[in-house]
Amino acid sequence: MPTLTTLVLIIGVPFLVAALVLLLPRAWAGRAALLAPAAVLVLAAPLWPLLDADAVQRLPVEWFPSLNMTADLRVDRLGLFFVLLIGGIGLGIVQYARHYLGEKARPEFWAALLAFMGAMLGIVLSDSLILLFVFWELTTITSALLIGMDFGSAEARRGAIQAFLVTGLGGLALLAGIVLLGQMAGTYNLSELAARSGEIVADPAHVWPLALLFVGAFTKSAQFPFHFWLPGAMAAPAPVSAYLHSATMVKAGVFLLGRLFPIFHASEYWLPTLAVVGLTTFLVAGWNAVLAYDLKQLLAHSTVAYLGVLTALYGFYAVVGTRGEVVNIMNHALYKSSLFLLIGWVEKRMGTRDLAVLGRERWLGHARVGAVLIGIGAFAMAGLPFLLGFMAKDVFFQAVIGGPYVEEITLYLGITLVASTLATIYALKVWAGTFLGREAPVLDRGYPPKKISPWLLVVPMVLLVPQVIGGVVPGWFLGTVVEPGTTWGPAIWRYLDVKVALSLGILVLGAFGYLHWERIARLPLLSRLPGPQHVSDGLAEGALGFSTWMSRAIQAGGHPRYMAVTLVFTAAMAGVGLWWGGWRPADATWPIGPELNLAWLPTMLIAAGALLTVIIPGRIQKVIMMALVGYGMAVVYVMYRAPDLALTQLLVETVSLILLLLIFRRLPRLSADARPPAQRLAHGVAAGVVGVTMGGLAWIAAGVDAPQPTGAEQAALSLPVALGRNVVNVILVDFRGTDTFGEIVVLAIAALGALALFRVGGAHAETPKDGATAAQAAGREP
Amino acid sequence: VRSLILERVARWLLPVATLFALYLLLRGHNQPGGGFIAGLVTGCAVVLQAMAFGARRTRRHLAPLMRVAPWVGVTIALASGLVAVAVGQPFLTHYHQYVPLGANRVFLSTTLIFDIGVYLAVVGVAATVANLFAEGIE
Repeated sequence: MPTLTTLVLIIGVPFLVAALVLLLPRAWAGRAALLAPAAVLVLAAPLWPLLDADAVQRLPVEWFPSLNMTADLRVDRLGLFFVLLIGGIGLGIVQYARHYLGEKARPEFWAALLAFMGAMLGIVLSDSLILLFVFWELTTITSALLIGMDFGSAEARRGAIQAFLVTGLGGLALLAGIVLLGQMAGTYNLSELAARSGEIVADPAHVWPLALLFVGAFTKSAQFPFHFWLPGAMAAPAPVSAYLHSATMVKAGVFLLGRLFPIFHASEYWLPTLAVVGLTTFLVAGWNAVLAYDLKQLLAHSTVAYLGVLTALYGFYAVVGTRGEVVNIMNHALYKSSLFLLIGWVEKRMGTRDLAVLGRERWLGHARVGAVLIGIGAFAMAGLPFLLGFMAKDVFFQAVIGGPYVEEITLYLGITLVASTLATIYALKVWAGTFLGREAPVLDRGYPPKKISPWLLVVPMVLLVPQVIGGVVPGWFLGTVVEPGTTWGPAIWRYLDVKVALSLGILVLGAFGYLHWERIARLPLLSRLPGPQHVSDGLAEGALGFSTWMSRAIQAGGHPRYMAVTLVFTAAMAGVGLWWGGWRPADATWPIGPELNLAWLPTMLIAAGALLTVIIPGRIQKVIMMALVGYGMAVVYVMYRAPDLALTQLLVETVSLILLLLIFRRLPRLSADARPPAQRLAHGVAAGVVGVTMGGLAWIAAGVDAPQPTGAEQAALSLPVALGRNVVNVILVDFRGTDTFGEIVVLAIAALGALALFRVGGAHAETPKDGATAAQAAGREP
Repeated sequence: VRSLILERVARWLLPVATLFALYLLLRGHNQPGGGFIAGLVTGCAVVLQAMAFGARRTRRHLAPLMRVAPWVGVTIALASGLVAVAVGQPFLTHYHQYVPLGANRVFLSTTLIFDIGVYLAVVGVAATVANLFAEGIE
């Protein structure tokens, strides 16, 4: 049985190799990158025969027991299947990318790709939803890096940002859903949640976490109405698209549905939501794919369509059970990744992937191998017999029909039939549109244009092998290797059942549709349907309008406005909190006891400093007066016998005084106050309210005896537990070490940010000083 | 503006301040001090260098400190926390031990390693930022 070490290695090796690749010379980076998926396969493959169909092995890992959070891992059929898929296709992708990108592959590219792989493996092996979420966000970040790897191209940057925003937003919804679900059920572990499925679904409030989790899955898997980000992400190079959009990234959403299925399958919302969203996506994306001329865009839309199929499939599993989930995921991952890779080959070979151009080139005779491979991929997409695609389609029909025979023509079945016809049309379009030119070839192009690595064909060929095997001998391949314990019919029908009839009918209808699709698309009714660009532009504009409105509402005016809004809000919250907590002005006590009469001295110093800061003109003078306040505070700390605080206050005050002086040195003199009287009054009132509230808070805090002071407890624990007499430092480095660690990370990042800002600002600021012309400045390297 | 007195003082002050910072760092567990305070002391000394000799020269001399120290510090702190993870305890669980040394005994603790990380991070950041703003003083 798999051990924890194996699972940790499977997840960890890609991350380790990713770090290693950054240190290696460029020539070795690609080769080293092969190690990660190979190691994953070697580690994971022996586990496959060991797992029974329903076995879930949970491997507990302690994380934050006090927060009821664990980092438990798990291994089961679905998860391990994904591991093999991610590793297997990943190996092919890395090998392909080495030859496709050649010199253009930077070490950062390999690092991002491998980190992405590791994050995906983390998702599929997590039992803890919190851990799953962490890996989920990691895939969002690394995939955005991969899509936008070509920083120079505006298209790539836009695609990356769009993908990041949509999936990042979905990630937030997912987090909210996870927390809600965890609060409801008292656990974040998938296996425990599945065990309490009945309890959870019985509570009508389960609709809220379910809806949020659905949003997370739908955004990741580009379901309607979030489907627009995926075609935008096509600016990525071919191997990245092939990996992200076949086996990994977008499958994460579908995988999440697979993980939620055991928990929510009995919910009344499960089937209708997934069926409607999935089938709508299938239809809309299928229509978009039929209209596409760019091969890669076509594949992108068809990917969205198939993700709709998978989403709907999980919906119908509530009725028919999970037979065939693996087959459908595998079918899509194999043919779609190889088609993306083959389109990359077409682009290298012909210099274009535009069907309008390719349709004029009669190049079938010059590229027989590629034509056969693209044919297999496209026919698998259409679901032709003797391919795995046929079996997958068969299962899907069975799920939609709800049994072996059609009882009634439902709306779901109707949509499925129309959308499947569309799928046949665009599948035919991929192959015939690429190779069967209708016009005479352009002669001056010359063949072959340049040397192309044979790996660009070998990798997709290997990926397509299971498609053929699974289609020819499904009983053996699916029943013994892929899903042991299930039985499958023969490769081709023994008798004509209704699914086969539907399948064949759709193929014929699709072929007819392909031959006439240009005319169909020009039908008056259809041409007025909103196209892909329409919807995506509309959504983008909506988002833009909303963010503009938001920034106008919040970010109007300059610095004084922000300060006033933030501070008054804080003060108001403090006041409300006080009143709510039952405090009344009568409770106020005199803050300074008779034993600390000397404290009047630093108090006078602080008050004088504060007053002078307001009165005195000139920035430098004001800053020095403010430092006076700080040093006065340090004296107070000394009096209250808090030497650590006093020392820290002194040093921080000194450093910040110097920094402020260095900055203010560059600023111009304060000009005369140009604010209108009303504004001055408003600012004055705001400052007064904030000052009185904050001062009052400090005063009140001094007079309140907290019912459970944590300080005493920590002080008592300091020596016996941490062997330290200085409680402050023990809290910093031991009791609250994680906080401190977080703080120094933030500090280091802040320094990096300051450095970057300074470089950018410096480049602009230096121009006029040197008296250089704008042209010179623009030509100079920063 | 160059000042002979300031330069002389600054030159001597850097090692003295660093020594004082180390003293604060080591005593932090039992008496006032610790990595954060020690980092600020060294940071102040570096700022003084920048004032006396100019930011550019200071940056040239102390470049490794500024560029690398924050991340080395974070890495050290991380490593001190991972020691516990390696033996199956939660992240940042600390270990303490009295080690006999002659007639005396020395207190050793992973918190000290963590504190050294904090120290390096604070020094690096304070020096980097201060030096950036001191640019153009000469």
